[in-house]
Amino acid sequence: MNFEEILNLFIQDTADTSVGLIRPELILCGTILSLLFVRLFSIDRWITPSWVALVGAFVAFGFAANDFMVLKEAGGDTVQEIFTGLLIFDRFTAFFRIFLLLFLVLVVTLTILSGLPDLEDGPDFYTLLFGSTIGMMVMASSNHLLILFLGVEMTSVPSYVMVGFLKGKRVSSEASFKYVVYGAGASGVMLYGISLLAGLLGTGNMSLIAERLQMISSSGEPIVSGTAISVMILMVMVGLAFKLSVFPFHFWCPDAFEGASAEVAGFLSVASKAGAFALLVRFALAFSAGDAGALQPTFLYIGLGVGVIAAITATYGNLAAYMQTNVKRLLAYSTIAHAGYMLMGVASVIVLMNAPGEDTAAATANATQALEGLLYYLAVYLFMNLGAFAVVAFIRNSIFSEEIEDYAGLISVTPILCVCMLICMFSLIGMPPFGGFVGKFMIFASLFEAGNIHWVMWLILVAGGLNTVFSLFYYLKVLKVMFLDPRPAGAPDVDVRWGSLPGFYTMLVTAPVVVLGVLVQGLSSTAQNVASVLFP
Amino acid sequence: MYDLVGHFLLFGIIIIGALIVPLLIGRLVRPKLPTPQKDSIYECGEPTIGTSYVQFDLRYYVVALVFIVFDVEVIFFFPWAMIYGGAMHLADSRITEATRTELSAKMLNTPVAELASENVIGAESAYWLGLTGLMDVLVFFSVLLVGFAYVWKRGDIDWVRTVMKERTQPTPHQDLIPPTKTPEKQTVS
Repeated sequence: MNFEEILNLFIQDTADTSVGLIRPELILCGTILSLLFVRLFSIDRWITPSWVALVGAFVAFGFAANDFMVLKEAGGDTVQEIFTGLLIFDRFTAFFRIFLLLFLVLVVTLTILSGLPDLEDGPDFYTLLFGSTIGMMVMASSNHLLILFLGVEMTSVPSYVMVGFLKGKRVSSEASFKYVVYGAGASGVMLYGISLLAGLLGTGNMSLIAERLQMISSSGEPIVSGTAISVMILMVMVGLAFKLSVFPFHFWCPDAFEGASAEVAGFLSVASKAGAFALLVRFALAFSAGDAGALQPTFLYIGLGVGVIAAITATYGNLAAYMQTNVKRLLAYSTIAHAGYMLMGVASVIVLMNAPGEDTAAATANATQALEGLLYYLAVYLFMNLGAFAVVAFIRNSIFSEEIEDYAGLISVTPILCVCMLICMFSLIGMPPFGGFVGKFMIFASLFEAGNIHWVMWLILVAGGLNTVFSLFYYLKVLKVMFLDPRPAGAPDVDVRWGSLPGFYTMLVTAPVVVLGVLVQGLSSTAQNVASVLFP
Repeated sequence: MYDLVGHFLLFGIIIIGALIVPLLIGRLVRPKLPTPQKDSIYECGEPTIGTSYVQFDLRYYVVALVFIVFDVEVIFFFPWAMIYGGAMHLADSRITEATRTELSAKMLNTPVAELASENVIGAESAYWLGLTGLMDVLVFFSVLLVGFAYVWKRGDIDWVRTVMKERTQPTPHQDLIPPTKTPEKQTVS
């Protein structure tokens, strides 16, 4: 193939295929630009930036939903590598795009209702929010180690600024600073791991990693030991663990959430976790897809290690949440605990994929089930966590406090917010009629299945079960204060009633938590359909 | 290994010695006649004023930040300019075959001798390469310009920002910010 053919192929691939498949991202970029133009030409006197942002997010969501529907209609396992293999477009990508853009629409609506950025700061805030979301969408569709890094950074850098967005608030600046310092450290370690891995394999393309690793390990004299390879993989995972706020890298999370406004904390707790989980799954399957050969025990132990870290994360998050007096801090620790539960799902995917024996069909089927559980959990988690943070934001707007003790007796003034908080928290605990239960059940079922391969997974399952019990108490502590304690005399009123827009919004976000707990089939079959595309 | 460590040790000892010996000689030899003028801190001949731990103007940071953003972006222009220049030269159909081979080899990063004849870049594809590159950079640069205009409009690069206008407007989330005493602005002459 000579230079001219390569050039023509490249131009054709970019212009005809690739650009058309990243329409949602391009629309978000366009929205960012129009936000800046709105400010530049003083159009914001007629249209507030938040409405421009809402329209942009909604249009992007429409295109993403359309892409997903087209893929689903077409059937089969369409996997398209776009931009010369840097990104990948399949049902998994399309699913996460819908997920992230739906969430973006909901967050923008929440900021409009709670009035977070004023007219002056509107374009700045939404530019950061949209930039971060584009980063997450890049993470979900990444097919190259370089894009993995780029996606993580594109997500992180705007988040640092968003955490410190409440200018003039000391806690906020401190939180932002802590977040930056931890983020820089984690990115450094991840970049080191990426450079080692790419240097060893001679490629950064994730679809080639498994093949190359097997080539290295199966040659008579292995160039590097399994330990060295697992160290490289774990170093890459450090960067992702930071985004997921997994146990040894979680320190930023409570501080950042306490300093940031509730809307931003809600955004970070759901969206950046979803992006990081998508990337983690892609990366985990990149090295363990197919027949791992001589490296199979190494990968099995990596899976077990991830599982043990997940169990520690969940336990730590739940135990640390007891002592909290600030609702956002409590929810931050709850987020850490939930990252632990979801990481258990990833661990069982890795373990199930690397089961000893020849039965690849059974291993693939089991791993698909585990991934289905993870996707279901993420979908429910979107609604229940956003619901909880929205309630915190609306209550803050009225009583100017986020301390648990100031929530005393709120049931008498704002029943709607209290009932929604109750539903979200029961779902976070994993109580049966709500969506959280179904997600947790699916993850625990996959852990049980993985226990057949290695008994450590059963111990992790026990840890997960015990954690569910631990978590009961601190969620109930908040609910007890809200529902049973008397409202102190002279406490400020919360003006959120049934018919008001914030009340309606909270109900809208909470409703899916109930629906997904009862009508499991629809989302579950979609999730399975999405998960199956990763296991050819 | 021991050789290396020994050298470092020797080097370290010599450094410390070379520091201590002149100080010691100076201490023994110099006359000691202190005056208040001599004991005062020397600062470019100016009398010193106050401590150096002052809050200096935040505007420095803003300007530095904006500078870094636009300065780093320029880095992306260098590799583009290299390719664009080469491509546009190749797009000229009047150049000799020898020049074309040489330029193609430079562009594809291979020695001239190893360049296969079918890999010599023709005028038309070089033109397309240059055009694609130009479009890419135009998009990139226009996005940058929008950012620049935005920063300008916001007044972030005005050295004297109209602080009075902001004071009159209510700050956002005033209710969330605990009332703190703003420190008096200190200036350094």
